[in-house]
Amino acid sequence: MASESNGGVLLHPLVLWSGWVIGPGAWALHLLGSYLLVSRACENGSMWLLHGTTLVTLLLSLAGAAVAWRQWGRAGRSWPGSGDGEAGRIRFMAVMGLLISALSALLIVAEGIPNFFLDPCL
Amino acid sequence: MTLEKPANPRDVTDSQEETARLERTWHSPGGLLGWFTHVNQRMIGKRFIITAFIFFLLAGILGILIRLQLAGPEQQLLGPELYNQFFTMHGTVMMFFFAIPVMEGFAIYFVPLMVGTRDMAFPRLNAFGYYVYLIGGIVLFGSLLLSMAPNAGWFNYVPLSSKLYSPGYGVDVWTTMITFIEVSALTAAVELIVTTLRMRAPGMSLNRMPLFVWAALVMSFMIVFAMPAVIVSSTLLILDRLVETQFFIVEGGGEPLLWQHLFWYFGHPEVYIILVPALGMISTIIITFTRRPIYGYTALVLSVVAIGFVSFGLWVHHMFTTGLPQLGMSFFTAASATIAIPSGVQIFCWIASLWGAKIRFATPMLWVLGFFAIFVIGGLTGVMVASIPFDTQVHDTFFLVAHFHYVLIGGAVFPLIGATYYWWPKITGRMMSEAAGKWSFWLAFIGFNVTFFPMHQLGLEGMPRRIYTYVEEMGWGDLNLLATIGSLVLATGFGVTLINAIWSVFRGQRAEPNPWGAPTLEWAADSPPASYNFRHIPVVHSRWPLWDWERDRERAVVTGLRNDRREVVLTSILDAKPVGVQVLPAPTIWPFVSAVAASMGFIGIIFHPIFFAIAFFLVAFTLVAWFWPRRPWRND
Repeated sequence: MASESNGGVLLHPLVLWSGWVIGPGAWALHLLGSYLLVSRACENGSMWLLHGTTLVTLLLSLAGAAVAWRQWGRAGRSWPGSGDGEAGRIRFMAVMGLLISALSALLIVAEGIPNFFLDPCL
Repeated sequence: MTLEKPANPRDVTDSQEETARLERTWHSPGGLLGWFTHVNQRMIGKRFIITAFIFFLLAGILGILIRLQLAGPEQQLLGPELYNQFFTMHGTVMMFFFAIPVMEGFAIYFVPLMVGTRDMAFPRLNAFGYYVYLIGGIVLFGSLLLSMAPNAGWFNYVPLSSKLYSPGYGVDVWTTMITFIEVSALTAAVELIVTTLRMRAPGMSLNRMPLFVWAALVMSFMIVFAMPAVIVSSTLLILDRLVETQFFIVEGGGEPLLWQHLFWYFGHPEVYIILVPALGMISTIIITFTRRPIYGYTALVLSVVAIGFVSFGLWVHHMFTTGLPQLGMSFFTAASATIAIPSGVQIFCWIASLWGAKIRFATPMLWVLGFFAIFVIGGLTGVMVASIPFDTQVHDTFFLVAHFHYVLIGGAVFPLIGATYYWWPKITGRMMSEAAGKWSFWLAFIGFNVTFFPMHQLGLEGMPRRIYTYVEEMGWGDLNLLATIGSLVLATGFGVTLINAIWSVFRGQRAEPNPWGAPTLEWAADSPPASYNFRHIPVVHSRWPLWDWERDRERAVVTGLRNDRREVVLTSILDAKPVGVQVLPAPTIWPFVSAVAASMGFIGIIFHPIFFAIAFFLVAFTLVAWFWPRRPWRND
């Protein structure tokens, strides 16, 4: 099973997991990175490291969503059902990847908000 | 072996001779010695379930004793030392020896049936996992009888659990037995992942997998990522206690908070490891008792997967009062509040599925509806304690006790009992009594709320957890008495189900293969299933194969598997296209011997490090016997 075809669209099975992995990966990086950088931010007296972490990981998670969005488009942009053979399954994987990456982006934003309000030294 | 309908469909006829041969091939030996050699997934799954329910009963009795002690002020039923042992054992056994194994047991029993195969990927490993669990549980309970039981709480915080403050063997027993149960859980998780991804019936692509199988898959991945943290932490602790390393000891440069981080990095996903399979059970029951496809299959899968990964980013909310930086904790508040989104999506999909449906209010459905009421209350208090100021106020009070019993009993035990009623006819071939089931539900539902709702108020009034008694002037007596009465009603409710189960095995009405009219593959097997599960591996074309077969009056199956050895079909991960045939190993005693050898090492190390070396060689020897190769020239 080197590749799975759908009307000329070739998507390697592993590529279909990208939205599933990139989003949560970015979110995990954000959570751990931010948590570890709080003491550094207190020492430096500047928040740019924390904001930077949020920005970079947010872009990464959105990239995951974008990849999944493109896959969805290539398999035909309709809501995945249980029929349609391979195209339906590619849609399922892509929509799941899209939503998982989107939720990760939301988590990163939610976790980034306190940086604007709380003092890192408290 | 074909996925599409063949050009010239032919009927499959089974000679009795061939069926008998298949039966012999998958047969599990009888007799006492034979019992220790079983490897078939249904045998092991059933043992996990029964053993876990026995631990549920034992830990439940401890819970009742705790409630009796707290029923009135200044009672002396249990002394402080025994009380500490009891609440530690109650928590540890309920979490590690009941909740995880029972969910694994249901998954081991039903995942292979639901994906339409004959066994799990590594049957002998399955048996090994069970024996390790059984031995661990017996030793832990034995320690209570020998007054050697752990007494530092189910999360065993340092420095209380260090050698200085907890001399004696109690904490050593805890750390060792926890490692046991983790090993057992990891074996089950590995099994479930491989079975789900590679052994599904041809045609069951990922978007057609039953929701319970999705839930079991997510649970297994969570076990794989969460359990190593607690194995590491308990190993570090036992090193601190036995060979005087200083991982958690401040004077030696150690860090007590490291324990809390490691423990809760495991401990919070653990709660969801218990909840996620219960979510799968609820979806399964709702589909069957509304008798129509579930609303929002993709959204439900998404929620389960999202809950799975977000649950790894919440652990610091157990540590809000440890003096960590406020900004650092706020990240975890954000994640804790956000996990309400996928949980909410689940609830709304279920409501939409129930909306306008002709619901059959059979016993399994009642337990699911009870779940809704209780879990929503538990979820609301969960959002409350995700907020740091409120959490600081109620930390270590009975409010927390109320919260997590609402989430765990409401979220996991109610669906679990519902699922037990639902799948009982498949496991035993007999129906449980509906009337007794309804009595059991109402007693448990009322008893549960009478027990745990007053604890919210007690917590707000300031009653702390883990105290063995209180003085009359505090004014906590009435509500505590009410809670104790409730706990007796709750226990009666569960007791009715226990009696119902035992009664039904002998007297229950005989069950059809599909008594509830359910759509998933486990109901295509006999009740109880034959040793080979399915006479022919089925081929599926949608999410609801049994409803398709009912409509089309025909079904597609895989042919060409040999009946004289244990063959199963392997399929591709995404599309479940057939790619090969796997020959599974036959029954053997070696997993049991291996588990005994490993246990010797684990238990012996509490007393002397030499046992580690002895067990190492014994286990190596048993593994050689276990993996002794099949003789290919004999073609068995």
